[in-house]
Amino acid sequence: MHTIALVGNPNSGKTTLFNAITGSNQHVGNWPGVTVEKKEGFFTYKDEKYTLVDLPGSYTLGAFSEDEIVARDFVLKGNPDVVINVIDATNIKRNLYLTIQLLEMGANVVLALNMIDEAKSKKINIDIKRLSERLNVPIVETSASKKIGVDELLKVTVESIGRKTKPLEISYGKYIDQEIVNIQKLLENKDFLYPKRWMAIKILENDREIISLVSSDSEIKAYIDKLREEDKIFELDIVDKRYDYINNITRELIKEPENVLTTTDKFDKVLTSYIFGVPIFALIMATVFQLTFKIGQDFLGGYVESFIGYIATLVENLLISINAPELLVSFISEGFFGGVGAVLVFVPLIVVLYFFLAILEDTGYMARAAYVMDSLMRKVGLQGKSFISMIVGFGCNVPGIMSTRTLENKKDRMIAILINPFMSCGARLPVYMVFIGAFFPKNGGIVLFLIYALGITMALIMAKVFSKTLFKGEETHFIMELPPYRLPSMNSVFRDMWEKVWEFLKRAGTVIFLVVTILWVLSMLPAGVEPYSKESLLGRIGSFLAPIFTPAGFGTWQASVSLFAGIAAKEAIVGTLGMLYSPMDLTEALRMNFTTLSAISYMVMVLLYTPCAATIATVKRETNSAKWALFMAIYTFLLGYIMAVLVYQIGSLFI
Amino acid sequence: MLKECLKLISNKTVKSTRDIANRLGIDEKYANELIDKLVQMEYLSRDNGEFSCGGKCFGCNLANCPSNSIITFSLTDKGKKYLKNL
Ligand SMILES: Nc1nc2c(ncn2[C@@H]2O[C@H](COP(=O)(O)OP(=O)(O)OP(=O)(O)O)[C@@H](O)[C@H]2O)c(=O)[nH]1
Ligand SMILES: [Mg+2]
Repeated sequence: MHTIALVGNPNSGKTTLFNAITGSNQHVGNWPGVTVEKKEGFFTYKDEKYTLVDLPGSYTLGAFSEDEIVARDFVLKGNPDVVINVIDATNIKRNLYLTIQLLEMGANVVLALNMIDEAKSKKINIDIKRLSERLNVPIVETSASKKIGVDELLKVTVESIGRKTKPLEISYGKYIDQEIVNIQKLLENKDFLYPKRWMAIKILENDREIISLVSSDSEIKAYIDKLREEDKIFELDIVDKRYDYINNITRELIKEPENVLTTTDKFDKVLTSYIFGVPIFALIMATVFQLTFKIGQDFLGGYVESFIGYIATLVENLLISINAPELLVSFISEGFFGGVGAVLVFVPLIVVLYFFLAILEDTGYMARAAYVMDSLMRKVGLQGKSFISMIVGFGCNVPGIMSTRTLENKKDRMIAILINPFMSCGARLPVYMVFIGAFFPKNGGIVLFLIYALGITMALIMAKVFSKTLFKGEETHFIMELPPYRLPSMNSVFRDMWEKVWEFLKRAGTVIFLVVTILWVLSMLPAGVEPYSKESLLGRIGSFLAPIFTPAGFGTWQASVSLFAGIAAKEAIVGTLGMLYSPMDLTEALRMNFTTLSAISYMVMVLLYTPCAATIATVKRETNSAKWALFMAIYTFLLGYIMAVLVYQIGSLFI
Repeated sequence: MLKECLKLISNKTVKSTRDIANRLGIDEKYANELIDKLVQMEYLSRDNGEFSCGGKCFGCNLANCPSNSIITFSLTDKGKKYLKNL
């Protein structure tokens, strides 16, 4: 019985064709790699029975993957009478690469030009007659899924049985051709089953399988070792020549309609343009912050705040009505609602901000942002890829720092780690928001944008400093893949957003609650002291520290204590302020205790100073060095402090 | 083309597959295929930016390790060595 094999690129329609011919029902899928081992079936043509073998799809007949080896072995050792090479007509050039390799192996090939229906609707014009002449193989147009051309294909295939074929010989250039001849000579009179020239080419292509096969022969092994030593590895040149060969043929014979600009191309012309790329990115971010502010704070924030206030009064009244101990009432109303509640009112804001960021991510814009930032990053000695870790840092610096693992180069990685905390994480947002609410209620979006922009600017400046001083080294080279734009899937946007909000809530209930509780206890001690006063334990600690911050304009003990609470977790800053000033409304209290200028310098401090404990611990783990963790904690504190003092002192000259 | 492609990447004059297509005067589909080939032949490595913290990061305020949509390709040691010998 004659055997026919189906070979082709993944997803070219082999199994569909197999089913159409044999009437069987093998699994077909619209993604590559559905068939992973060979399947056998039978068909009858003119009263004669034939075996048909469906092979897994592969792009080459190298030894790169299991699939390729299965397909190659069958063609070489299974001795099929005819190999039907199924080609996706909408993608001929790519598919012909496999064809060329089959022809070089000397296989008896029939081309099934499949998906011809799609090629026609895409107005791809193929001169089949001349293509068939150039390749010296019969070609049949088919549409396997519509069962068009299947009979013709069987006819041509059966007629081809026994057709005399000669392996295709491509010239790989004088030098390689000579090398092929040399190796062919060595292979002469050795009993390897495969065609000699093909084996020679495979050896020069560095094909693992073939090399290990011929290495049993000491003479050939010595020759290969010599080539290796002289770095004579020709795999790239050989692949290139095959492409040249294909391009030469297809240039005249295949006419595709001029590439019309896709929507993605049109968007990218503007969004990734050299001049407008960065300004547009800035504009988009400014818009996001403005919208966040308008929707999250002005619109939704009010409701949540009154809701929390309502619950707080309710609980307080309830506690009083049941004669709960005074201390408990104080803890619940001032510690819990004053502290944790002050953090919780920012849930809507977090929701809205991460909703927009998730949309930017999901549409594919973030990849463009990294692309346009790349030139800027390279100027400061970073690479665009570091920008990815910076974007992650906007969510939280812990994963931001962890994501620097994808930077191969030690220098890039260290710098990316050290600057990550300047990317303002979600936990710092509530701090800016209470201050903006108190001092810049009209220009919230802009102020927020400027804070984030200052963070990025500081990161870039410090990157430059570090790359000039601490870490010098070679640069890495890379390119990016820009996926097509797509409409965001609301499902994944909401999931993304919800995850962040849920974690925010969880943290408010755990870490923040813990910090606030400890501080509450400290502000009640020693017994008998007036709660939340300067004389309390907390007040004394704060008063001791406060003078340090006087030059920056916020030398109050409350501000000092809250900054240190912020090292435990950034949300705790707002929690602490909320508790220390309660029962007064936090906004009111801030207006009384800060000036516009000291509010700005305080926000700058919060943006830049020592990151939270979790981040410092991550630095230690990722760099494997307590020294770097300590360095991180200290240099950011100094930088934040210096910047805050500068802002306050210079600002004082003008105001 | 494969060689030119590698050279462009090492010259740092291109930042994306599309840049490569533009510089070499080929269509993007073909440029992508060249990149795929170079990855397959281990001259470039593909990095889809994923990393896992195994859910053990105390203090992280994200529920899951973030995954990003940014895929990059960079020269492998084999690629660098090849370019050096050119
Ligand atoms: N329009 C059109 N679609 C087709 C044609 N032939 C196959 N398809 C579709 O292409 C997809 C892939 O078909 P398969 O038969 O699974 O491809 P395959 O070559 O076996 O793929 P692997 O097993 O992964 O190598 C399926 O969705 C088919 O329905 C055709 O002639 N025209
Ligand atoms: Mg299949």
